[in-house]
Amino acid sequence: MKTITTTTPLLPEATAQQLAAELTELAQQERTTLGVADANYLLKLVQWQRIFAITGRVLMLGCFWSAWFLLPAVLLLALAKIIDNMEIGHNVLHGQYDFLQHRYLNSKHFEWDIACDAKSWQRTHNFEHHTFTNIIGKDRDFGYGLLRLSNDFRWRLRNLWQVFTYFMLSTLFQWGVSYHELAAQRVFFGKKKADRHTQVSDHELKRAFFGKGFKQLAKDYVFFPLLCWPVFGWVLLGNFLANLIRNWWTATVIFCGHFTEQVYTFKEEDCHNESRGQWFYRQMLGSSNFTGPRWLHILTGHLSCQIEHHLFPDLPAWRYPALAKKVQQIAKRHGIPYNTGSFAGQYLTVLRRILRYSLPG
Amino acid sequence: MKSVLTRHITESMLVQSSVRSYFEPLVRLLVPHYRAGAIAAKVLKIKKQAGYVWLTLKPSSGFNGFLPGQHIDLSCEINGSRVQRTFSICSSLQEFQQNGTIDLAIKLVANGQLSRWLERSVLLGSWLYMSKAQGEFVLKQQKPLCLIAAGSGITPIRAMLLSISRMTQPITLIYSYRGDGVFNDDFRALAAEFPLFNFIAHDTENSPRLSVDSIMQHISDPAATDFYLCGPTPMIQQLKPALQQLGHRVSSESFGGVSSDALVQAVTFHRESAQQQVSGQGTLLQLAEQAGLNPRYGCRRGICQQCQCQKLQGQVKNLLTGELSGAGAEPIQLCISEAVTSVDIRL
Repeated sequence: MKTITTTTPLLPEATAQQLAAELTELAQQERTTLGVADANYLLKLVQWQRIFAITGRVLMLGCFWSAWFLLPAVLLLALAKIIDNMEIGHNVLHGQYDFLQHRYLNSKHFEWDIACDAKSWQRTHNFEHHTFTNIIGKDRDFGYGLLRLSNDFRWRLRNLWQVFTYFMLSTLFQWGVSYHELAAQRVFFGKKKADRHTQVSDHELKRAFFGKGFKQLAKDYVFFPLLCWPVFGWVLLGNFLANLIRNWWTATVIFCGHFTEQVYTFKEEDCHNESRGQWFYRQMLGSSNFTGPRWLHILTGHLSCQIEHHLFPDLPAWRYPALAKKVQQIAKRHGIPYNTGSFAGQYLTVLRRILRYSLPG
Repeated sequence: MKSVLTRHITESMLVQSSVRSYFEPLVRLLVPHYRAGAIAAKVLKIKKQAGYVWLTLKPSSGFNGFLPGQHIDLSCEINGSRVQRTFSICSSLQEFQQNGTIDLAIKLVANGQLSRWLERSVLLGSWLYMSKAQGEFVLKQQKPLCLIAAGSGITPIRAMLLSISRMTQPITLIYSYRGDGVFNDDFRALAAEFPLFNFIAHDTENSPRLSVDSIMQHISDPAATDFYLCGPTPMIQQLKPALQQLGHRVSSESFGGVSSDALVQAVTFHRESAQQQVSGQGTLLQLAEQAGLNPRYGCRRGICQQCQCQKLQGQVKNLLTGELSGAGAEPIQLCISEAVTSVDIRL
């Protein structure tokens, strides 16, 4: 098996400063062009999301006549959920559209169609993952405490079947995401970690976890099926399948963002008091992109441009593909690796990585 | 009880806080000016006069009237972003009852984002968005009144006076301005109509600022008179305590947005139960923490939005970009914001 162990290359501080200046300049330039185009894009997106969701749910009623209605209905509902979670939810919750001062499409008030409470996700994702990207021990998104994806982790017996664990994680992805913070805080199991700072009590975490989870279960498996009583079973099945497709899709996209073969990891002690340039550098080495047509970018919430997303998490994501060209040039100029490839190609390397580290060494 | 249950069910089924906000994007396909949670108002007239933009608006059916002296929150979509400021209604109740319109007289401010946009870019027939009327600054008593206004503080008082159809108590209006008294003609006409109404125009270009003594000269029965003050915060701060000390009942409304030159600005943090004023140097996050307020935070370097709060009013500087914010309500990140004027924050 090809070895993919790489030591993270260091960037001289002078280059880091240059990098920070260039990337900041790029972001500032982009910021001056923010405006009505972003408002219109977001509106159109939400309009399509609503149309897909409503059409999908209405089509399920067609199962009264023929079970074939289930197929388009499930696909449309899954599509609506994917757009809601990825291109709308993920990006709105990052505060990318907060400058619009929209009354409800903003990072304070938005709630998404997924089991995870938006506020909990913002704490673990926006703060922990985006601040400490790929720092082993600080960024729990690296392997989610379940998978061994680099030799920074000691090998354990359970890693032997981690391909199966990975499959289960993808299948139950929305619940994994919603349980993420509770696992980190050792709410139910394990010993509390002394160095974890938190401003939310275990009680609040449990309340949000069960509250949002219950609402989602009630919606998809009680309310909507009851509302369509004669086809109760079909609607229940249809909602389950739509959630499943969404789970597989989001997990696949997200794994391609940080767990491809050429992604680097970092040690906590190397990142103490890092400069803004070094932070930018770590974001670039810790993320990977993939290429594809525009619709693919939209369905991934533009996480296909993970590098740009990590450099500029608060710029509207639909602008990333254009920024990517410029970021790639900057990377090339400074000799910084820029990890990109086709969707399938990148995903294959993710699978290779998972397999590689299921074995010791 | 029922409404709480319905709200819970809609919230879970639509994953939205209201049915309106779920359907708003679709309604906008048919009615482009529809906005959930706001009252759309059509711009019927635009007039520029004596440093003011004067708008006549026709609110849609969600608007259920106002008491003269009340204000509304006006939102405009400027290059896609919603900008909101508070303005007093300056037209009379009769006008609203007859034509369904309200007037706003908006003072042009040198760097005012909204007022300059209104001056340059607002179009006849376009739509702006407003809240219901609110505010306690309304006439209550059948007693002799003295109304004192400075600058754009005259707008709610104009609405109060023009809405009076029968005057049975003596009313004195002292209007302090610099250069051009924007509504002087209206008040002179009013004085001609009602003998009990006394209008005093006070131009500060050639006379000193108002003081309690200069005010009292114009009032015949000081002991029985109630006072209404409306104008910039420093004026209210100067006159209100002095009048209260003399035993008068004083209602007031201050028009904020004053930028003082002091280096250390007063920052007021509003919480559900109480508010707390702090001043000092440093980011707003540091100030809030020094005051023991324990706001939520995360990265402390402007990445994660965990410390994002709603600024109610005042200007802040973004320490990452060096940019100055607008003066109105908008979300800001505490960890990278420094107060440039006095600022109100909702935690």
